[in-house]
Amino acid sequence: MDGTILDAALQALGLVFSWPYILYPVAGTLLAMLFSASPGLNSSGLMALAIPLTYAWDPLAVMLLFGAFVGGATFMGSVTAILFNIPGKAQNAVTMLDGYPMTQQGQARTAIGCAAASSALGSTFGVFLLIALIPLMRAAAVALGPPEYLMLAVWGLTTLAALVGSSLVKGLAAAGLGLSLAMIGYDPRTAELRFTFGLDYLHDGLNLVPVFLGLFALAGVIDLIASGRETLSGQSRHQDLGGSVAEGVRSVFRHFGLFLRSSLIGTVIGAIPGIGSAVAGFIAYGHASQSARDRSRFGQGDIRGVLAPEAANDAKDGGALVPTLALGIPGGTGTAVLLGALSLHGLTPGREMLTGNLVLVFVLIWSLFLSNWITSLLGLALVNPMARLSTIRTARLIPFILALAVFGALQYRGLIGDAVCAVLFGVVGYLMKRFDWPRVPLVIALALAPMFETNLHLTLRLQELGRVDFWSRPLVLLLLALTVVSLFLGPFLGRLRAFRAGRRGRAGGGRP
Amino acid sequence: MNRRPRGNIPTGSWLTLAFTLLAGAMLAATFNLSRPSAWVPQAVLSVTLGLLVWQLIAELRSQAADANRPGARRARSAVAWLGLLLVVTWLLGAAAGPAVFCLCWLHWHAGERWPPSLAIGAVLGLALWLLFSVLPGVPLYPGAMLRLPG
Repeated sequence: MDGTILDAALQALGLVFSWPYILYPVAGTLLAMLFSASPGLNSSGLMALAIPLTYAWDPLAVMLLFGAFVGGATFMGSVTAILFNIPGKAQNAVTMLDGYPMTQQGQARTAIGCAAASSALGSTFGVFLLIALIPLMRAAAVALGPPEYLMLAVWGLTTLAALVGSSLVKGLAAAGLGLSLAMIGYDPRTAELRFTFGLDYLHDGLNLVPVFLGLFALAGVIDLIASGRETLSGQSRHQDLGGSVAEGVRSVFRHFGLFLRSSLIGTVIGAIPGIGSAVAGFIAYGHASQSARDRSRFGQGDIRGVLAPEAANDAKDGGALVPTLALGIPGGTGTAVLLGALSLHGLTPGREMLTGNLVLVFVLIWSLFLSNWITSLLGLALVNPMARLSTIRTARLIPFILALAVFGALQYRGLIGDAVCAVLFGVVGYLMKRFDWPRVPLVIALALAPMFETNLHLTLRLQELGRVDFWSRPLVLLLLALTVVSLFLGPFLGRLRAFRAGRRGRAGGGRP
Repeated sequence: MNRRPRGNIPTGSWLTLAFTLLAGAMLAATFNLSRPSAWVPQAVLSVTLGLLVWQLIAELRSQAADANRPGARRARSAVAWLGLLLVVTWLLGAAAGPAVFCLCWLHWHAGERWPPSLAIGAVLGLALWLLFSVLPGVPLYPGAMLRLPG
């Protein structure tokens, strides 16, 4: 690692721990914990809600807050999975397999202690691997030209479309719709208006902020209302927890080999756009059960069934930042919203950020690191109050989230059209969720469309002028091959998910 | 397996149909554009439309009955409340609108008594005004009927 990178890392570390900047990751982590501990709400919705608040902030504070949102959300979703058999996020569903049976056996504290320790240590593994990869990411980002960026956009979109959701056709169609919607407004090359249908509001194209707020925050709330749950956990009374936190923490060191292997699985899978942490957790769980001598306890409250997916889930956060920061390709929903927030503050991931704004990159990484530790430590301390909080009536919480989402969309540019756009996308997002249409390819296509279209035109022009030969560039050919592979990988992972769902149904009998 | 009666369109297919119509309308609109502006959207939309039609046919040919999906009425009510939020925000502005919405929701939807509903609504409006207008110094959306400070 050269001196510039080390200097940037140390400077960023100093900034993260300086006053008043330290408040941002702490507050961000607390908010992310609160949101992710509430089934039906999620950190992507929180990030979308926070974008309007940060319009006037300096980029450093934005990085600190959003780094904390990415890192602070993962562990708390496991708490609801362990305590109530309801995962905070899809990725926490695997933890239910053994976590909830442990709660039923009076071992909730042991399971939560294990989840907290493996989450904190797993994220540390992922973050340090990410830091080690930064020199490579910088070299890659500088070496890439328009043909490679074009193929990266195509590969990122195809991979996400193929691997997220249950149907390849639906995923690809959602990505196509996202690309098409992103073309509303002025053509970047000819300045001709496209698809405005006579509406002045559409001249500048669809803005990402109201779209994100609608698709994630509002759709999540409509889903929460439609579910009819009286309280966030679905239970009206708080139950006492049994077991020992210390025993749970010790179990991570007792199975340290499994922890390291699961963290590596999480980091590698996190770095591949679209595969997602749910798959990372499941593969780690599958590895844990296959590599165990005694498999009979898996699905009935085996601590290794909590350790492996939790380590993988948190290690993947570091991995997911590799394509996001190096290439501007988000690995999932959270990083897509993060990308949107960064672009609003004039920060473009990729070459520009890794060379000109390296300190900010490290600020994001340290904030992620810090928030993962805060969330695990506070999570352990606050398990009981959190369990009580989950019995709060949803009807009291909902108006605040609705009001904040619409307010956020409206305040961005002061246009009532943005609020209407957020509500429309909220309804569309809810319907997509309900009828099993993946929202992630649509959102990521919206975010990647400018990169796709600009580099497509640049590549064609350069090819025309004889400055590049598209078909003789090795990375272009590699990405083309990966695109084809991802199209075949999608149906395979679909079968894997079906297997997982069957197994979950047999083990828990609860809701997925 | 439950079978769907012949001629009935599955509920989820209405969404697929809406997406298909949207893609079709956008593709039709590209024919009014100049050639340099039209070819990229035409290429993307043709593939998208093909995929959507494929999906729609697959759903219509499927014999499986609609899954029992509770909560449709509650979802419609949520959308109606969202509509109300939009209207009051447009009329009363970015701080007073959400506050009035919160008051109405808490009283009529959540069944809270008037005093706590009023207090919580007022606190929300005040918090929005202070946090998003006074502190960052950004003017709030004024609303069609009222003009609030900020």
